[in-house]
Amino acid sequence: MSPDKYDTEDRYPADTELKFFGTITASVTHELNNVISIISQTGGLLEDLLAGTKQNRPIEPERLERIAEKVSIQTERGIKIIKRLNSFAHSTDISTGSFDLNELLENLGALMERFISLKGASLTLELSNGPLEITNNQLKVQQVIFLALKAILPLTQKNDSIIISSGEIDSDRKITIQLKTDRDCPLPDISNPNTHASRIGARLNSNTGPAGPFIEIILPRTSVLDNI
Amino acid sequence: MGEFKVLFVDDEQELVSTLVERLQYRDIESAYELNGASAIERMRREQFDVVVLDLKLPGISGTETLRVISKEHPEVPVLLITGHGSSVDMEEMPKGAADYLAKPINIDDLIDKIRLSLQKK
Repeated sequence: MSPDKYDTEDRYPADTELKFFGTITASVTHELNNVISIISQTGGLLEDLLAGTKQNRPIEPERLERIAEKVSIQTERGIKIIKRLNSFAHSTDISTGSFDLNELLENLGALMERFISLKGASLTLELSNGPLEITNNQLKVQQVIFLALKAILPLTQKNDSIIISSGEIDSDRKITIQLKTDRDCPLPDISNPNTHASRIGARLNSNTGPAGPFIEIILPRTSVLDNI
Repeated sequence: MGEFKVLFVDDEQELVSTLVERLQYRDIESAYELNGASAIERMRREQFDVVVLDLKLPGISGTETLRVISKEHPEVPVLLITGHGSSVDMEEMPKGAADYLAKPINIDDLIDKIRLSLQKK
């Protein structure tokens, strides 16, 4: 496949889905690799200390406590990452079905957080109370949310924050991705996420408010498209 | 103190603090910074013999940090840390890097590569 063809996401939606899946998986496995690296170095430190005892260098109990705590914290972190990735992977199990949009945002938010932190910015989720049921294609909904976030990331800088909120509007569901910044920013380019949004019966708007630019994703409560 | 002084640049504090502790145990002096901007600043006020830099950094990217450090301190070799599980061709590495290490890092490989990069300089 030539590089040109590989990049034509809009002509090949399946390629974009695969790319989305690959991008998220690469990011999460990178984070998991960090967890393993910390546990590996901590194990190495323990080996160093034990080797030192043979040369009359005693180990302070507090130091051992710190090592055990570090391993425990990183193990918990690793378990959370794997659970999130597993949940994301299972979102492909059923093409279209009913799910809780807030639960999906919570999981996807955690998976996307690294892209935001690499910009030196932070992510806050402000989700509506209780479940927000929706019937659609889970993977494609996540893809549209991710592409909307990707449209806002080029405008994001160090110390900015991104707020993802959810709610209802009439009988539809609304997700807002707000870039909170002091700078004047242009409107995010939503042409790419919009192409994908139309495939799941959703629509996107971009605008600027007092806090900065934002993207709204309006999703029907039940998608009527039968080709998703 | 030791034969060389290392600056680690990585946003995983638990990782770099443990690496510093392990090098200290081997009488090698080292320190860490959690982002590119603070690493560049630190290099301006403190002398290090070698830098071990993660490419994925918050704010200023690892590639940009490498570019600035290489320009301001051409005598200091910079080793890159990559998240790739498999080996990476040096040709794929950004210009100015002396070598690379894949995570998880083996402490003996790290020391060997530091020594080798210092000999080359």
